[in-house]
Amino acid sequence: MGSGYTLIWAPVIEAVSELSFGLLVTLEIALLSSISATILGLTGALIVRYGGGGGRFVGISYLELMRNSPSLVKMYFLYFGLATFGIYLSPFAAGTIALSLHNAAYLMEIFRAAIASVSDGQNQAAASLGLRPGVAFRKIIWPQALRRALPALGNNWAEIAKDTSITSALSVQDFYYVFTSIIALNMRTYEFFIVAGAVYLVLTGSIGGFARLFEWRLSTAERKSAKR
Amino acid sequence: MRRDLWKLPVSVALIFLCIAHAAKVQAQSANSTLQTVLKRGTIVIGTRSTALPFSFKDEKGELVGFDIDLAREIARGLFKDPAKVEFVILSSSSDRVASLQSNRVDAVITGFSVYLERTQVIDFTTPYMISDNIFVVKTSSPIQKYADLVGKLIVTRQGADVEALIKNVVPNPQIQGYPEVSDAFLAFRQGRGDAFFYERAASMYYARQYPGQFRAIEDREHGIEVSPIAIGVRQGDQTWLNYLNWALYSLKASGKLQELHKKWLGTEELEPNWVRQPL
Repeated sequence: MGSGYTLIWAPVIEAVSELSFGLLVTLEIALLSSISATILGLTGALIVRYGGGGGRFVGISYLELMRNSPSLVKMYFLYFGLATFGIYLSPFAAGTIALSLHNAAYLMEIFRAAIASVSDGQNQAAASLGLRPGVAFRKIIWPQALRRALPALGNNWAEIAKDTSITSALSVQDFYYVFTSIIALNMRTYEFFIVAGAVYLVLTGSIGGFARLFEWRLSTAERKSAKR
Repeated sequence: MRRDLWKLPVSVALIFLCIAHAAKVQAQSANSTLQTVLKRGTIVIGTRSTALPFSFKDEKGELVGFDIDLAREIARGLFKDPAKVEFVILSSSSDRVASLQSNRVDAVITGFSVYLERTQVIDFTTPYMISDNIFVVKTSSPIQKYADLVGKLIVTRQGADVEALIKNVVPNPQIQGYPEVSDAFLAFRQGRGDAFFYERAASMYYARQYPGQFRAIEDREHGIEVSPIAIGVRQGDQTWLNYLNWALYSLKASGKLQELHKKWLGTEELEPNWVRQPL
């Protein structure tokens, strides 16, 4: 850094309440997008797995469409593009929907791989016990698939939490928007980026911790039932 | 594995400490940027490529504008050659100070408004222009004076600097900010806001693309606070700051600075007083 620069923290402390409001918006978008992307992704995976040739085609088309453009491009399309057709999504809605659609593709692949990784012998065994396919999926396949999917799910949820910052391009006043706005006036770039880095670290760290805890719970439950 | 978990927060803290420490170590570089520039034979200027009319890309994709010409004149003063300048494109407005502090550029010339908060972080030269901001509305809009803007949605560039200017003339304004000015104008054009607020020259440039559709609000009774525009340099380099001040002074004396005002702004109204006064 240049001559004579000392880190001064007072501007950051003054901005704490403003930053907290931004963080709240970030949490809202992260939570909403994660939930809807997970539901969409799981539905997609089931369609690909059990929907026959048509289902596979739809699933793969969706995957390629979503995976091959950045989420920012989707946001611009939903926000500015649709407006030319008279459909006005709010910045918040456009951002959240874009993040959900984008990440649903990745989550679909995660679920698809996890379900495929459960050996087919399990299905056959369930069928020989007279379980209907739906029950077999819920009771036998799904619990095993979910546990295998969890590490990758945690990754993707953390990714969504970080990508909330992209919504600031549409004027969503999330955490990223708030601290970059403050920098625009006082130019305390280093101070605010150091704090922001720490906040994002705690945010994604907690998501990773949550996923690990969930995985641990599932595996102990399985060990207990295996002992019985 | 679980026992090693404490290492993560400790290493993160160490990284931050290193950053903080680096700030202090480099602070002791004694030489002035002026000597570095003269030795190097070129001057490195940080600028933006989207700041009309200061520094932007023309139809051919070439970097042009008031500030680009100004940088070339400063290069001419240093090396008798206006081509001895290298431009570093800054990706965002917050990059303007960071590029100075990280020694990536010698000076930042890009419509840099001087605010007290900013002068606590870097140094500014004498102003070479006055920044003037306006509100633009659709021609059919009922909005005539600033008082009509109360409760209306104002679209602008994202930033507490711009917000502060608006707050001076509109109490409790509703503001929607976009990181890119062009996006802000697009959103306004699509009818997402009631008024667009930004630097006059840039606003008029956008409005001119759609003849007859937009008009500026002229409210002579209430002025929007003007801010001086100056060249930004690293804090504490008095020699370099002095040099650039004298460079600006000599451009005024030769009439070159006034020429740039006429060329890019079409008027000399935005010249600071010292530029208008005789020697």
